[in-house]
Amino acid sequence: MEPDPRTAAGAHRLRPLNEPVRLRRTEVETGAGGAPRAVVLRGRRHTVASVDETWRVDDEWWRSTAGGPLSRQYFRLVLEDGRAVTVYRDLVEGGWWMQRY
Amino acid sequence: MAVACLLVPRFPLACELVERPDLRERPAVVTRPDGPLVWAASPAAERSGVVAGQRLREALVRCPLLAVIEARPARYQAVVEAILDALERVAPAVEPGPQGTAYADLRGLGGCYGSPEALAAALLGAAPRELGPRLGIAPSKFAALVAAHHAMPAETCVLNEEAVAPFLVRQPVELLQLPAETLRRLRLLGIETLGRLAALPRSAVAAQLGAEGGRAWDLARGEDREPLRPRPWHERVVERLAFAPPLASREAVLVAAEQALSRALRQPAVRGRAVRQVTLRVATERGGRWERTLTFREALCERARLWLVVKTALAEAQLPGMVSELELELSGLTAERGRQAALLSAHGRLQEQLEESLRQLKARYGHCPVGRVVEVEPWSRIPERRLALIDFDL
Repeated sequence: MEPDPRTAAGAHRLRPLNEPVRLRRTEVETGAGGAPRAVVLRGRRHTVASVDETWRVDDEWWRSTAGGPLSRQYFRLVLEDGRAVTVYRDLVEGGWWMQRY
Repeated sequence: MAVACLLVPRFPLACELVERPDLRERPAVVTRPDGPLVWAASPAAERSGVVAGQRLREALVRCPLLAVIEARPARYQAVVEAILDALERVAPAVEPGPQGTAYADLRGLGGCYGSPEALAAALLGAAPRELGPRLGIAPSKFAALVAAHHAMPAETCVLNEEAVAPFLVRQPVELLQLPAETLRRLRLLGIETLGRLAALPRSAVAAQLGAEGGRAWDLARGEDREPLRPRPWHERVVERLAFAPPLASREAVLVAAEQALSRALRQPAVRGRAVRQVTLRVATERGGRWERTLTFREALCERARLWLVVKTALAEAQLPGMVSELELELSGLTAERGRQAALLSAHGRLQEQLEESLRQLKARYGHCPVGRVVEVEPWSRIPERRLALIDFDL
């Protein structure tokens, strides 16, 4: 028997883009001031050619449930091969995360 | 000497008298195309008290034997274009003035014609002799215009820098080309010559007449700083067909127009380019003219689409008689070789196919697997909140 082809009524799904990917501690090398100087992507080490921008976000302090308050230090990096990536250090949990842009 | 002014006084009437020489010595007027007003009056009519701008009814009262000629603006514009084209073959920088006047920049032309007389003759030759053109040469546009008014038909009046101010003193204020009401006020104030106007304080003239009064005062003193603005050059392709005997049926005119369009599109200047404007001009055997300019929202390069527009215009046209000449002009030539269409255009078969495919996918999977990127918080400093993927929904 064929499943009911009619779709359920409902709002469109909103899927976020550019979701962060967690980096292991060993995949980020930091230099003076805490800025990354190299990152390991897919097993390959890439030196950071320049830090284009850095900013800090402190938000949603009122959250106590999953997600919690937001406190991140962002770095927009240009790697040695010309790629631009965004990494941030989660100042609440202490981990590093990477995003494509 | 920097500027030449080629003047044809009473231009609409001059154009008509070329075809109606029997009216030369008679009182005659040409009426304005937008109403029963006198556009241009012959000297004989002016002696009877008929002036330009007057109501036709009043003119006929003043001169019962007045010959009234209906204006043919398309004909006059064709004559203007021919004169400007001829002037541009003499001097590269030509500015069209009010109908009947044109200015030419003479700088650098001294060595091209051998003598100033030869240059003046070449400039005068740009207008047909039957129109009675006059030429003025002076350091500025206004002085050249006044000099042209002073010249006799087919002759040149030349003013050098030192002669301008003394020459302007005796000239009438009507040469300032001010509105009729302003001229009337000047006459009421007893200011009938440029010298009397220039003798007044500038502030007083500006207080009475406003900014145009200030400029008139400057011109009356020979201080004309307005530069000559050459008319922009527009690339055009023209195809002209003459018919003997004239065409009587609309079908024959359409066949001729299609042929003219095909020939125009084959010209090297058009090849590989798109057209933004088409002008159709028709002349009839009795001197009537019809003209229509068609401007497209986007440049067209396909012959079929161009012909559709031209055919529609001609099919609806009220032609004034049997057609003796047809002219088709392509202008606004662009460098486009095609049109960049959108991937998901709002029209066409591609759109229908896409919609059908999405419906099928939605039915198959329970949701639409095709997404669309939308901005959610583009200003956010948290990157993953700026954009999101939403189900594609047409």
